[in-house]
Amino acid sequence: MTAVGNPACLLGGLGLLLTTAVVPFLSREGQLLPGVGREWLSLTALSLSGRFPGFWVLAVLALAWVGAGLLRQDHPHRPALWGGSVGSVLVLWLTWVAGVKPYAFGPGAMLALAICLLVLAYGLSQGGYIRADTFVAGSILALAFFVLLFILFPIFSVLRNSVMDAGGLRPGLLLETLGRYTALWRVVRNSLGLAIFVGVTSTLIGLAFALAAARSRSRLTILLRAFSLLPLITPPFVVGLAIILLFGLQGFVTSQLLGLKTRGIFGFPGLALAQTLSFAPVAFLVIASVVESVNPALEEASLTLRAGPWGTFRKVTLPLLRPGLANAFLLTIIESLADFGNPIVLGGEFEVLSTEIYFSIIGRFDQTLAATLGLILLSFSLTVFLLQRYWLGERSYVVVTGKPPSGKPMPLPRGLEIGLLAFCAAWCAFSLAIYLFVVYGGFVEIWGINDAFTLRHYRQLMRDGMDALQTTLILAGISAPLTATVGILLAYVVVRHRFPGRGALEFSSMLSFAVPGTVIGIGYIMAFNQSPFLLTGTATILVISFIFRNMPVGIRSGVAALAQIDQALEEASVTLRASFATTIRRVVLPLIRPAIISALVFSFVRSVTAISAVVFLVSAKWQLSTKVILDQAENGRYGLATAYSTVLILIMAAAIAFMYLVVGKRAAAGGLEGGGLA
Amino acid sequence: MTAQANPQAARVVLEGVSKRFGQTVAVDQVSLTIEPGELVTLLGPSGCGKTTTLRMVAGLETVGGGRIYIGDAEVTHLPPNARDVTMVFQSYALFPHLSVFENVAYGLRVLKRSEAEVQKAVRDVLELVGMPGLEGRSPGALSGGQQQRVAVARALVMQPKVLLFDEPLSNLDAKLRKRMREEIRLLQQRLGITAIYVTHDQAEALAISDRIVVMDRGRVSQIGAPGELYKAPGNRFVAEFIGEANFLPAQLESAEDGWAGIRIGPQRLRVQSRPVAVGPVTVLARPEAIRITAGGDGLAGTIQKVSYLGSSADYTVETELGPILVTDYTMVGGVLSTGTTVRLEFLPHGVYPLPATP
Repeated sequence: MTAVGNPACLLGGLGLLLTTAVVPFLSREGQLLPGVGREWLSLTALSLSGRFPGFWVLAVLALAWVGAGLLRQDHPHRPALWGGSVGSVLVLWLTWVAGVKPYAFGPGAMLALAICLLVLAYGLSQGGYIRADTFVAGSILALAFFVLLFILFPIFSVLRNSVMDAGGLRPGLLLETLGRYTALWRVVRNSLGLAIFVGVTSTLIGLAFALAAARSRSRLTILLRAFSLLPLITPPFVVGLAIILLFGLQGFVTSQLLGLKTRGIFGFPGLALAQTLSFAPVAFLVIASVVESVNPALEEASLTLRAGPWGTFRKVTLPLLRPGLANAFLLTIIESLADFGNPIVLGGEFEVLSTEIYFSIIGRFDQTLAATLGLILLSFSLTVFLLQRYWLGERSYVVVTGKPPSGKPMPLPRGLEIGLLAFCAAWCAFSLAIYLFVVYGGFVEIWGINDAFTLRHYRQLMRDGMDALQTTLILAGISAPLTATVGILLAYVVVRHRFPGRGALEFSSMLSFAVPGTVIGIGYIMAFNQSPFLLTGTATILVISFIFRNMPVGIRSGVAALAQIDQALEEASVTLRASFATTIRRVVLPLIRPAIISALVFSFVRSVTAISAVVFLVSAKWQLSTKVILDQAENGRYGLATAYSTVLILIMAAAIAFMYLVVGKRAAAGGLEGGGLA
Repeated sequence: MTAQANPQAARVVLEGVSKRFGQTVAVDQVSLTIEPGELVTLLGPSGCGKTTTLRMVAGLETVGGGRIYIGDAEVTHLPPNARDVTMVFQSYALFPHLSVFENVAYGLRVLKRSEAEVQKAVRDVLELVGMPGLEGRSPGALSGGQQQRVAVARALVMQPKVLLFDEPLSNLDAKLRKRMREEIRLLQQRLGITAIYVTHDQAEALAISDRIVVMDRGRVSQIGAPGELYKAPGNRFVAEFIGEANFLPAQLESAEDGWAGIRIGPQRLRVQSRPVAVGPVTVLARPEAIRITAGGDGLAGTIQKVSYLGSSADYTVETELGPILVTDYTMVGGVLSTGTTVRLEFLPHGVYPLPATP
C-alpha cells in the first residue's frame, strides 16, 4: 500500500479558502448577486466573520483540508468524508444564521456547499460506500440536496405554517384554523366526491378506449391513439372554457339550441364533465399498457378449454385487467384532487380544496388557512399515492419491464367491439367539438351576444399578451434541458447504482408527482419568500418549479430507456478504464437519445401548460401565459382567453410534431406515454 | 502451466472477502490466491456467489468485508476504472452504436492513445482472435461466436493485469461452446495472462482450468486442479457437482499410507484415499468405473432404467445398496434391457472414500 496525498482535500481546501476570501457568501435580499465593488467584498465570509464568528470556523476548516491534502496518508477517503460532511453542515448552518434580513444566501454559500459536497463525494466513492466514482457520488449528493430543498423543504414549510404563527409553534393552531373555517366539510366532501366520480367515469371510458385501441381490427384505432395526445397539448383552461361556451349562460347548446338561460353547468356537472374529458386519456394510457401486456396464450388456453369469446373475455381478460383499472382509478383521483384549472373557471359556488387554497392566499391573505387546507389536500393525495404504490405493488419505477409478450391477441367479441367503437367515436367527436369551439370562440365578438366574426382578440393578444408568451416560452425553454438532465440523471443513479438512501431518494423524487401543484405552489412561497433562501418574485423560482414539477417526465423516460439497455454495456465501459462520466457520455447518452428528446419536449410542453403551482409564483415582471388566460377567463373575457389558448395549442402541437419528426414514431409514442403518465 | 512469462500478469489475492445483499450472505469469507499467468475457474450452481466474487474483483460490486489485492496494490475500494482489469461479459456487452473496430478501440480511446497506436493495436488483436476483416461491421450483424471473439479482443487489447470471464460461453450452442473454450484457453496460455473464469458448467471448468474453485452457498468448498477434484473430492457437494456420482455405504477395513481397503457389498478392493478412520464410510463410485457383468460374485442387481446415448448407455441398477447409476462406454454385449439381472464390479480408480462430513 503506497501512501498518497489527498488531491480532493487539497483542491477543496484551496477552493474553499478562495471562496471565503473573495466570493460574497451572502447577497442582499431580492438580488442573487450583490453589486460589484465595495458591497461585493463586504459580503464575503471573511468580512462577515467579525459579526459571525462561525465564518472563522469555515476558514479554519479550509486550512485543515489543505493540511490534510498535503499529508501523505493511507486512507485518503477518511479526511474527505469527515471534511466534506462537517463542511456541508457548517455551510448550511452559516447560511441559516447569517442569512437573515436583509441578507439571503449568495453565490459564495452555493459554491462553498458545492465544494464540500464534492469532497464528500470523493470520500464516499474512494471509501467504497458507493460503487462509482466522484462524478456519480457527487451527482447523488447534489440530487439529494435539490430534492431536499425543492421538494421536501416546501412540503415541510406548509406543515410548519399550519402549526406556527407569529406566536410561535402551536400544534393546536391547526384545529383552531379549521374551527374558524366553517366551509371545511362541504369543501372536503366536494373534492372527494368529485374525485371519486371522475375516477369512475374516466376509468370506464379509459377501459372502453383501451380495449378498442388494443384489440379492435378497425382503422379507427389510430384516431383513438391520437386522442391520447389531447390532454398533453391542452392548456389548463381549454376544456373548461369550451364547456362554458357550449353549456354556459350564453352557451351554444343551452342558450341557442335549447333556449335556456341557466348557470347550471357551473359546479359539479360542468366540473365532472371537464375533468372526465381531461383525465380519461390518462386512464386510457394506463389501461392500454395493461391490455397490451396480457399474454395472448392465456386467452388461447381459455378458448381451447371450450370457453367462447364472451366467456373468455369475462373470465380471463377482464380479471387480468383489474390491477390496471385500479391503477387508472387511483391516478385519476390524484389528478382530480390536484386539478386547479377546471375548478377555477367552472367551479362557481362548488368549492374544492385546490381553489380554496388559492383563494385563501390570493383573496384572504391567510397563509395559515392555506397551509392547513394544503395539508388536508396533501394527505388525501398522498394516501391515494401510497395506496397505488404499495397496494398495487407498483413499488418502484426501477422494476419497469418493457417487453410486450409475443403472439396475436384475441379479437373482441363482435358485439362488444361494435359497441365500443361507436362509443369511442362519439366521445372523440365530442372532444373534437370542444377544441373546435375553443378555436372558434377566439374569432367571435362576444360569445352568444354578438356572433360577428372578428380578429379583435388576436389583435389585443398581439398587443398585450406577447410579453407573457415570450416569458413563458423562454422559461420553459430554459427549464426543459434542466428538467431532462435532472430527471434522467436521477433515473440513472437510482436504476444503476446502489447506495445508502437510494429508496428514500427515489420515493421523494416521485413525491413531486403526488403532491398537488397548489400545495407545492404555496410551499414555495412559504419556503422561499424569506431569508436565507430568498427566491420569490424571480424567474429562478419559476424555472425551479418547472424543473421539479416536471421531473417525473424525465425520470420515466430515463427509466424506460435504461431498462432497454443491458447494464453490462456500462460495466464493460468502466472496466475498459472509462470514468462513469465518460461512460454516460459515450455509451449511455447515445443509446437513450430518443428518451432525452421526448423528455425535453414533454417538459417543455408541461411547463407551457403549467398553472397550479406557478399561479402563486408569477410576478408583474415574470408573467406567464396561463396566468394571463386565467385572469381573462375570470373576468368573463372568453374571446381573448380562447384566442390565447388557441395560440398555445398550436405551439405545443408544433413541439410534438417536431419530436415525431426527430425521434421517429415509436420512440415518440413511448415518450408520449411517459409524458402523459408522469 | 504458463507457456511464457508475461511481465504484465499479476497475482490476485482475496483475503476473507465477503458480501451480503440485504439479509442474504452472497459471498462468505472467500480467501484465494491466483498466481500470475494462471487460469482459475470459479465453479458452482447459480446463487453460489461465484459471479459476485468476480464482480468484486472487477470493482463492479462494493466489497462488504475483507481485502482484494491485484499485483502489489490493494484495490478493495478502488472504482473499476482504476483497476487495470478487463472483463468478458456473459452478454458480450458490445456497444451497439459502435462498429467492431470502435468497440475494440474503446478503451484505448478512453486512455487517449494516438490514432496510429490504436489502429495497430486493434488490428493486431482482431487478428489474434481470428477476426480480421470485419472491423467496419456493426456488432448486431455478427454471429454469436464472432461477437464472443470481439468481446475477448476488446478485453485483451487493454493488456490488463487480470482478465475476467463471466460465463462467456453460456449464450453459444453446444458445439461452438466447445470450440471457443479451447480457443480461449490457448490464447490465455499463449499470452501468459492471469485469468479468472466463472462458469456453472463443470465440463467447461475441467477442460480449461489450471485450478478450480468450487463454491457452495457463498463459501469455497474446495480448491484444486481438475483431476484432483474429480478423483479426490473433499466432500459430497464437490463429488456431486463435478461429474456423475453414486454415494454408497461401505465398510473401511484397513487404512495405511494413502491407501484404504474397503468392502462394498460383497466386493473388497484397495483404493487411494485420504486418511480416514476404520469403520462405516460413504464412498463415491463414479458411474463409468463400474463394470456390468452377467455372472461373477459382484453386487447383484436388476436393471430398472436404460438411456441409450449413442456413444454410451446409462443404466439405473436396483441393488441392496439402493439404485446405482452405471455408464457403459463399451457396450460389448449390446444394450441391455430393463429387468435383466446383472452383477456390478467396482473398479478401484473410480472409487473414493469421502471424508466424514464435518
